[in-house]
Amino acid sequence: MRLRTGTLALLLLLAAAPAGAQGSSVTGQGGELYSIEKRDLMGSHELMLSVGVLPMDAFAKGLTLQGSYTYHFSHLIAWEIIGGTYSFNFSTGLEQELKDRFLVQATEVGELQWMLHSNFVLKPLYGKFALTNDKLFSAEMFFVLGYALGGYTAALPSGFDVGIGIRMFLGKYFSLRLDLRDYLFLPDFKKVENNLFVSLGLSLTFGFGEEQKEE
Amino acid sequence: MVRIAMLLALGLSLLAAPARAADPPPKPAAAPAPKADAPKPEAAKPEAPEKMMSENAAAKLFARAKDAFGRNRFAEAATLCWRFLQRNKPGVEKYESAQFFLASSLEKLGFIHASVEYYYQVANNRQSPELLPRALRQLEAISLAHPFDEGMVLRDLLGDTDFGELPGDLSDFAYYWQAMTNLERKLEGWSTERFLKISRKGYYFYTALYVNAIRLLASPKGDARKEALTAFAELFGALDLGSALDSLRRRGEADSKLAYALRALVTDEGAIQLRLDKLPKGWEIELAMLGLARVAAETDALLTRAKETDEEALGLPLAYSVAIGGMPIYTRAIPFEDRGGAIRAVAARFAGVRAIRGKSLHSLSRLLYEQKQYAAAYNTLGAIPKNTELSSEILLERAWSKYRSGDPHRAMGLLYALDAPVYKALFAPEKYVLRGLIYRRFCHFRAAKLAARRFRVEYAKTLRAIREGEALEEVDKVREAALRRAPALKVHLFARSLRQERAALDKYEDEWGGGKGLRAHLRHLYLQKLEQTKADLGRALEISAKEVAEDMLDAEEQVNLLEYEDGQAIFQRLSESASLSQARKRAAKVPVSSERVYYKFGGEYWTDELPSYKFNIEDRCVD
Amino acid sequence: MRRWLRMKTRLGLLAALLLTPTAVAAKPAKGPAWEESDKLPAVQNRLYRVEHEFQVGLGVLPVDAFSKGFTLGGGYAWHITDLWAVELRAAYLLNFKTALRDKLENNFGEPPSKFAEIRLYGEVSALFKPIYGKLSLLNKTLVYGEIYLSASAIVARLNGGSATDDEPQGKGDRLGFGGAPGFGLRGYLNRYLSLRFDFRYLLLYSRGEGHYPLALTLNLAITTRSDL
Repeated sequence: MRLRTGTLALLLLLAAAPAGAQGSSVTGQGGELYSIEKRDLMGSHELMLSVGVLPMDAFAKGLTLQGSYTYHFSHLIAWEIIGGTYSFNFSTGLEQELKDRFLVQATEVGELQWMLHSNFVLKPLYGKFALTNDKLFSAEMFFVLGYALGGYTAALPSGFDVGIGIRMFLGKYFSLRLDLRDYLFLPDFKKVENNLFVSLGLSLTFGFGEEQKEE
Repeated sequence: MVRIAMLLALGLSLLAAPARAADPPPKPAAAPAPKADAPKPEAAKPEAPEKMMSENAAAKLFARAKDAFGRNRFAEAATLCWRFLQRNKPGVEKYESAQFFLASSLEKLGFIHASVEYYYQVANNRQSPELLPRALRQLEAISLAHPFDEGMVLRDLLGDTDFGELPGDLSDFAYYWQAMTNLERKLEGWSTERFLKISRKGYYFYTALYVNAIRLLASPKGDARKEALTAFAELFGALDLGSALDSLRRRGEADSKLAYALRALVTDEGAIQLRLDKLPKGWEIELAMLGLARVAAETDALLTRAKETDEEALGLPLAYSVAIGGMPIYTRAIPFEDRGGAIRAVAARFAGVRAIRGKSLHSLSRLLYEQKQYAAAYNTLGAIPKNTELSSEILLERAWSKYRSGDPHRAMGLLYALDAPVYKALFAPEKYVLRGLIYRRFCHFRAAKLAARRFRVEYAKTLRAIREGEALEEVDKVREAALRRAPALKVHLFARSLRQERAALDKYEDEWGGGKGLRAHLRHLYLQKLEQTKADLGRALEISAKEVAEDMLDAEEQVNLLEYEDGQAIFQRLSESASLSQARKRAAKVPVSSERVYYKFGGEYWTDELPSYKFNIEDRCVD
Repeated sequence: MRRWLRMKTRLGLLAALLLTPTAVAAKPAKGPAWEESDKLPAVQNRLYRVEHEFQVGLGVLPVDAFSKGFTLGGGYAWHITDLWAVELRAAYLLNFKTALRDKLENNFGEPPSKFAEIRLYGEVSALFKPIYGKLSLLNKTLVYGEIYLSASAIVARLNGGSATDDEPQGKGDRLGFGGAPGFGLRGYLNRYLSLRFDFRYLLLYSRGEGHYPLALTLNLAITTRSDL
């Protein structure tokens, strides 16, 4: 018990350590120092095309093609109005084995063949990364949450999807996106079909408004 | 005024100071000079020649060396060339070719100094006329890209040798350095004559124009003034001078100082004619700024275009607008027949042209600052291409410009950028003084006092050593700072590369080993040059260290004053009523989301961010 | 004070500039200190530099059709440089039967021993960490993190497994060996604590049978600093 208390105390102590490793030499002298930079912007419209995987299904692994259109309201908020995914499924052989040995249908809903979704997008994090401490690229991290429809071979359940993504800017018009999402479908609201989805996509953005002048 | 006079004296003494200890008596550069005058570097003398080779064996050995070079086996090629040189006497067939291939192999392997020694041999002996331009071309490329033995190459070889006709733009390289050598020797007329031989395009033209713009500032009277003005006007060109004058007249600025200065150089018919009595007061600054602005504008247009040099792109219209600190002066379109040549010449020495653009903008910004055009100085500093000028100087000068133009928030941000690790050895006591001034501007008196205290923490030991009369070059901080100033900086960088190259010789211990092997020879060569450089560095350090020490004592004086005034102000504020603090101006608010991203400083320096820091501070002053 | 407000002016230029053939002078140095003319790194004094890392965490192996595994694990990593690290990790699995397996066991009499399960596994990994960065959260706070790739060698203890003529009762307790490619993200909470998310595909082979579970783990890491 003493050990546990000690561990907890150590963790609390570590958690209370200041975030800055060396601390700022500036704070405490009446001011804050900022680096203020122009950010890479998304235009109002974004078209995205990606390739990805649906690795969760034990009976078939899916290689996917996904496309979406997103409207960006501001630097912070966007709406992925519509997105569609088609999955090219590769059977693992397990389903056939179950059929042959036990005459059992592996799943009631069948294989996931396509998905549609519409998501709210929140983009609170923007920053930059250094590649091998040399080249820089700017990036943003975003979170998505929204409605999803699953096109299974034997069912058409609704559900929702939640995810996180990183966008790496490749110039004014293009960006590279890594998305990690979970599509949760609820066939007949009896069970949850959980589909982890990882994709790498290329986005085209356009519809830049007039630049705001700020100082 | 005392300081200006000191700077002038220093500037001029440095103009005359050669990089080498022994300065030959003044004589026009490139006058046909006996070759024996030039000191022969060590590389020329292979120690105790081994048994001589037969002609046939020598030819075979050379063929093997050339073959190894062709197959990119440079270490082997160097060994074979070295063997050839050891076993043959100067004058035998292919002797210079072996020197040339040895130099090329050493250059490919990164032994720049050693290669310079052998290229020098080839260019200086000139036994094989076909190798001379090749050796010169290599020397020129090295001079633009690496620290090298400037005394030997630029002054001894180029400055004092008449090469006759050289192909293409190589002659510009020779003319330029002959002109510079003459300028150093105060042979103004000879210098002008050489400058005017440079063709009117490419790196050497812009560098000559740059040098002659600065030369105006250093030559305020007498013959020197006349020569400087002649060189400037001829290089600038009657057409451009006329365009500038016309443009000023059209805009109703015929009475401006610049217009008067131009009228003293060019007639209304567009011909160059000096009328020295018509020069207005301050002509030298006006013309120098015009010259620098022209270099900056023209190189900018050409550098942009030099990235594409296919025939179609070369023919497209090309114009540039000369502006001094944002104020337009004139616009010039390069005629069709000149475009291709101008663009190709810039593309051939892209980095060099970029560097001279950086220098021009930097010098222009300093002149603008002196003219109290602070915002223009700030913007001009911001246009300097990356990695051409020292970023610490740019940051500090931008901070001063921002402070003087009434933006202390940005000024302070730029000052904090100077705390980045890369500037650890930077000597900039002004940093603390300006920081103290800005804190005081916002009535943060304690922080201002702290800035002064940080100066003392940083320099107390050094100041004590200076006062106690220690040899300045031995005081660490003074030495560090002095090494980063002209004239010591160049020698320091050269010495550093010599040490690095000498250390790299160890990699070839097996291949070039042995008592009389190439490695032993090169080690000896590097050691000798290092010793000579050490002496040069000692002399250069003496000058720079004295200057640094004076600056440091000056800074201390300012800090004393600052501390005293802050102490007074703190005392006054203690009696201030609490209600007055309501009138303080809060620090600027940071928006939650905007087109600009705000990275709050946390102790980590991202190199790209250094120029974009801003300090948000509450203004505690009460009206 | 006025003297300080004046900058080095035109005359100072002569000394510094007139005789300089070029400003692109110095080659990059290998020494510890940079010259200004050298090529500088993107981040000059990285705020988060770790050396020894101890971690505990939870995870999930969600892909198997017959059982879902939840992991309890821990490990140690030695960050040799900012770019490279080696790591030792071990995880114990709590396996939960799926509805399908229940069906097969209860309705078809398939014995539990015939379903392969990973009981625990250990990994030795090399981590390549090329991407380090910071993200500004609503312009207020900064979140620092890194993205890395991992390659692991794995040994696992398995139980059960499909029957063969030689092993009619399944394969029983046994060891499996294999590798795992993957990637991960680390977010620094403060100078000693960070959160890691790892995504690894385990490719295991044991007695003629392949197992390819996906392992998703979330670890809390306590680290020492390499620069202190």
